[in-house]
Amino acid sequence: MAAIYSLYIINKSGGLIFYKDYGSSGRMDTNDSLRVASLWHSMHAISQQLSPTVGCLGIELLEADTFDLHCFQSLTGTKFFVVCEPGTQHMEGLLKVIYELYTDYVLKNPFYEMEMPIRCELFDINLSQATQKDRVALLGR
Amino acid sequence: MIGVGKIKQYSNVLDKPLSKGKQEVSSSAFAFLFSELVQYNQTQVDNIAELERRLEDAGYAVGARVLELLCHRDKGNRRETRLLGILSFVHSTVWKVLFGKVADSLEKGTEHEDEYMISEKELLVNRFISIPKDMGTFNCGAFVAGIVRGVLDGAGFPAVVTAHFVPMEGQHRPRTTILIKFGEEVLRREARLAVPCDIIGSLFDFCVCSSEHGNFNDLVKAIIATPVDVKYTISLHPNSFDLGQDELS
Repeated sequence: MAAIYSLYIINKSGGLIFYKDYGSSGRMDTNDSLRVASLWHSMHAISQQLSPTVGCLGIELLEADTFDLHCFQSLTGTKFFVVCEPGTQHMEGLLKVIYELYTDYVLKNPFYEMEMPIRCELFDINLSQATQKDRVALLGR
Repeated sequence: MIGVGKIKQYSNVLDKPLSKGKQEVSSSAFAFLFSELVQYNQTQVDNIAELERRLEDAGYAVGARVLELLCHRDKGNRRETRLLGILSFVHSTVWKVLFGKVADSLEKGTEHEDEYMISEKELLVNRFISIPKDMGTFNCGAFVAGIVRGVLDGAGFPAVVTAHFVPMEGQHRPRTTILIKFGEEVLRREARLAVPCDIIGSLFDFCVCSSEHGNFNDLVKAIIATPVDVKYTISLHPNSFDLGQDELS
C-alpha cells in the first residue's frame, strides 16, 4: 500500500485553508506549502485556458517521477489535492470522501468563516480516520 | 405536485387530522438551519453567556409547543403532574419525537436532591459542530436545554436547565449532559403530593383511638389543624364514633 505524502485544501481565490503532512521525511515548512497551494491554483487555471478540448475542468492528475498529485475541484471552486507516492490507488475516491467531510464538519459548523483556514476538531478527527491506509484500500471496492 | 390531491381533500386546515406526519427530516437541512441560527445569534450578542441565553430562548419556544402537541397526540390531552413522570416524558417521548431515539441516560444528581441529568453521547445539534478553543465551555446544546426548560415550564415544573460537556473516559469526544435544577416550589409540591398516605395513616390511628374515647370534636380539630392545601379523603365508618346529634351540627 502506497503512502499519502500531504493533503491541501485551497479556497476559490487560491489561499491555503488546510494543510496536513503525512510524510515522515522531507517535510515542508509553512511558506513552502503556501507557495505550492497558490502555484497549483494558478497552474490549474492556466491549464483550463490552454486546453485544446472544450469544457476542460483543469488538471486532475499530475504524474511526476517521485510523486503523483491528484486534484478534485468542487462546484464552488474549492480545490482538494493530495500528493502521494507514484501509482497510489483510489485517490479520486479519497478526495470525494474528504470533500464530504468538508461539507459535513466544516460547512455545517456555525463557527467556521467561509474561505478562512479550517480549524475544526471534528474535521481533523474524521479526516485522520478516513486517511488510514486500510480505510483507503476499502474505497476500491 | 404529489401533495396537491391531499391539499384539496382538506381545504380547511381544521379538518385535517392531527396525524403523526412524516417522522424524518433531512439531517443536513437541519444542520444548516441550526448553524444559521447560531450564526445569526452570534451577530446579535457581545459575549458567550448572552449567546447561550439566546439559544436557550429559541429552544424554549420549541419546548412549549412540543409539550402542547405531544400531550394532545400521545397522552389524550393529559399531562404528567409528578416529577418522575414528567422527567421520563422528556427523556423518552419528547426525545423520540425530536431526535428519533430515547436519550442515553436519565440520572438523579448525586450531590443535590433537586438536580437531574439527561445525558447524550452525541447530541443531534452538536453532531457537526466543533467549538473553537477560545469559546471555552460554550455548548450549542443550550438550544436543547431550552427545549427541556420549555417543556418543564409549560407542564408546571419551573427549572433552570443548562447544557455541559462532560469528558468521558476512553472516548474521544465529551458527551453532553443536560442539567435540570428544579425550583423550590416544585420540590415542595412533590413532597406534598407524596404525603397523603401518611396523613391518612395518622388520621386512621387517630380514628382508632378516638373511637375508643368517642370524641368526634377532637377529630374535627385535628383535620382543621392539618395544612389547608393538603387534599385528603376520609371515609368514616358509622360505628367508629359515638356521635351525638349536637356534636354533628
